[in-house]
Amino acid sequence: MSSGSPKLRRGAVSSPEELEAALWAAAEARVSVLDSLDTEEILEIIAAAADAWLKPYYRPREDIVRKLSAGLRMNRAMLDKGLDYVFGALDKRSIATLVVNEAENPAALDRAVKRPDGSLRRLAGPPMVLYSTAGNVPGLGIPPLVCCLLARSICVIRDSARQPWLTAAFAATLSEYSEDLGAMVIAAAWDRNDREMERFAFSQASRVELSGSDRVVADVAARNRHDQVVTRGSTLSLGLVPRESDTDRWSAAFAEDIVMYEGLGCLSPHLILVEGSFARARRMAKSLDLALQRLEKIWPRSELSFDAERGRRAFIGSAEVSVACDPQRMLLRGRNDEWLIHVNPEAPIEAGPGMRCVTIVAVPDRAETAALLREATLPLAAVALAMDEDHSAYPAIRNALQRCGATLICAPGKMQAPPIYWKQDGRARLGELLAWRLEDEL
Amino acid sequence: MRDLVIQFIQENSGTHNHAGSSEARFNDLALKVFAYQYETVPAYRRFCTKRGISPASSSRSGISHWGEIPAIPVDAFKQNIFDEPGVTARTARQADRGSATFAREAEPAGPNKNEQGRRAHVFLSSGSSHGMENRSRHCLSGLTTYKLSAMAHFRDMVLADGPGPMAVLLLGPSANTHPHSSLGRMFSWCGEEFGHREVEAVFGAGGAVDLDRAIAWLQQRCAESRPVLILALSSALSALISRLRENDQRLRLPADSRIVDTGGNKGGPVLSAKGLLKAAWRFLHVPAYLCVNEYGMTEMLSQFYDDALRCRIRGGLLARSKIGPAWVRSVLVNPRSLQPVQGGCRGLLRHLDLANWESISALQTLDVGIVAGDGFIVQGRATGAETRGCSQLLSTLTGAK
Repeated sequence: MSSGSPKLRRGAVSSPEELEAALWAAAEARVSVLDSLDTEEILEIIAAAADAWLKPYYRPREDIVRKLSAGLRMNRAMLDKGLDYVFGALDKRSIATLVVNEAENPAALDRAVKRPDGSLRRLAGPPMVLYSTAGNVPGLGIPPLVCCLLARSICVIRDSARQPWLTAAFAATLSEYSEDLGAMVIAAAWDRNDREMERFAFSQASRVELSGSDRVVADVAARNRHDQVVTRGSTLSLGLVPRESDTDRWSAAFAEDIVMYEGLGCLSPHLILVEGSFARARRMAKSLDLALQRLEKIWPRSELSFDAERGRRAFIGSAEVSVACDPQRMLLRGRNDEWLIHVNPEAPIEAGPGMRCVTIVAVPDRAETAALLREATLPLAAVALAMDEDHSAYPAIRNALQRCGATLICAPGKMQAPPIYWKQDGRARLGELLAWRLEDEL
Repeated sequence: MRDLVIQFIQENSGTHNHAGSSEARFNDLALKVFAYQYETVPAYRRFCTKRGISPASSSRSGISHWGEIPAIPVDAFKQNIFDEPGVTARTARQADRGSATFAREAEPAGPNKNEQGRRAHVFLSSGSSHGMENRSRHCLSGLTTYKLSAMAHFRDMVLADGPGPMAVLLLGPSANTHPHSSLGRMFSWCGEEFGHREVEAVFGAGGAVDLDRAIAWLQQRCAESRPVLILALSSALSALISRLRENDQRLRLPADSRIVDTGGNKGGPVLSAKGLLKAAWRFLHVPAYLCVNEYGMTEMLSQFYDDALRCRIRGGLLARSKIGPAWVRSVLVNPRSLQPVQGGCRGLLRHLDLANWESISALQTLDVGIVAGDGFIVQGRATGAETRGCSQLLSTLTGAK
């Protein structure tokens, strides 16, 4: 079945009437799922649907990559690889790990169990969860969708107007395996000024999760009072090359993390801290420069929006001045500035513009690394740790990074492929949905 | 160099940058100023060298047109480009820990010092979202060029109809309250040069504005015939208008009264440009053509003004645009390529200000503009930019009632 080319049965809903109709259908489907599908089956269906999307010859994938490339102004081959990351995370084992990690009693997801107070209750999510996702990278709606289905909640995923296709397409694939599960996923897209639709969606939701820029998220939350709102704002991701590690070995992997999604995701590294002498930082910069040059050939940079290019220009200007003020600093750049590497020991630990711009900070020792991370202007998200996991120093460094707030610590080259059980912002994505509910409350 | 620039300003006062001054003379002087700055600001020289550009006389990479002069990002003024390398908190911390890794090269001092080798005047921008320690610094050995440039263009754009000495209300910084504010210095000069008697200053050093006092003073002026000149931060003017609206109070200022506001919509609650024009007429009886918005920055000693009054005098009915003086040239460039944009397209504003002869004249801003009429329209700062500019002075205004 997975090798076929199912038609996309529906696009994203965009009016209160369409959403209401979809919610009616979803409510019926939910009853059926609660009665007839256990977690193992749901898990298998999600994994099978994801596997279909991993096939290069799956026609909807080609279609979506083409649309995403136009909508996000990103290279097609890069987005193709990005979809591998999105759906590669949905293997059976990883989803099972998510369930085990976050469900207090996984068996209670399938049937009511006796609670200490004598009541019969089942672990389940709220009837409907509304997710509003950021538009900077594709596939942000997929992990919430998986969690909702495991929690037997209907999910309405409002994708950015720039890329409203992937959630609807994946829901269509899910429907190939289970009409009911597919119906529980409602892809929505509406203009940010469509207050009527926004109000209606909020009014129907039992829980709301908003992600995007801090300002947009705050504005939406302020406009729509809701007693269960989770907001996810800006975070900072970076790389760390410990003193014990070789600088050259990791540059290709770092380059891929930097370039993927043009560095616009919350998991894109904006800085790389290189422990040791300034010469090591410069060496790292030179090898990274070569790696970015190679990537430019296969994933050439596209021109982004005026505002995005303006943000990039600010970085370039600042780096040029920095190097002019202190000749020991270094600025490596591609032809026509396709990429920029600014080596600056004084750089603040803050997010840059992304878009293939990265700052390398030379840090004398580990204590200084920790001090710098504590100075970060945003909460830490991912840290790519350039060190083999079996290195004796690895556990101590990982623990130190966790203490600084990093929620994803991985090898370079893996930053854009977080496992489904990654706790974004330190929050249990599935666990937070689940509550002990009486059968008639479901 | 100073004398050459002053002579040019004096000879070209009363014209603006698209008329009057000889293009060849401007070009010649701009190249001389560039050569001077290339020699005297080592960091700027390195910046130009990285771009493969040098003054005409020094090598084959020499340039022959002002448009080729490398524009330095205004951010340079935050990075102490004119100073000897400083010691930041981080380098100090690292040095304390015994690391000599990050020692920086000592640099000869910049040009902008007076005969005693001291910087007589240091203008600081009013802070930013990145903190007060990250302010732009513009150091000058003297204020002659700044005053000449600022007053000449102010006269041309704001007082072109010759209203005579006016009663001046200051709803913004002054040299007394904000000695490091270039805007404050200019407002004070305006009061001295164009005011009648003492200037009424209602803007405190802490950024608080005494609106009640301002309204009482304006009420008194309504009974007189002498026109009023209000020099204001846009946010302070908005606050004044809000107070008049709250009080349901409409004042009728004498004929030829006028308003100069600056600061845009950054940093505090501000009426839109159109809203301000409408409210100025409604609450102060000042017509739109006598409301002139200024666009300027600490890093630049010349300013731009709306051409509303100039158009009115000439009998034109064009949409207002910002006009700079004859010793300034502005172009809009593509943020990606830094090449000039085609007419009608948005671009980043780049200015070449000869009045900046003592620091750096060619400035690349991140302000977004579009060509209009004889000048340009500022479309504000694009999404994601840090808030900057003098309106930051007003951060305390909202609670300053």
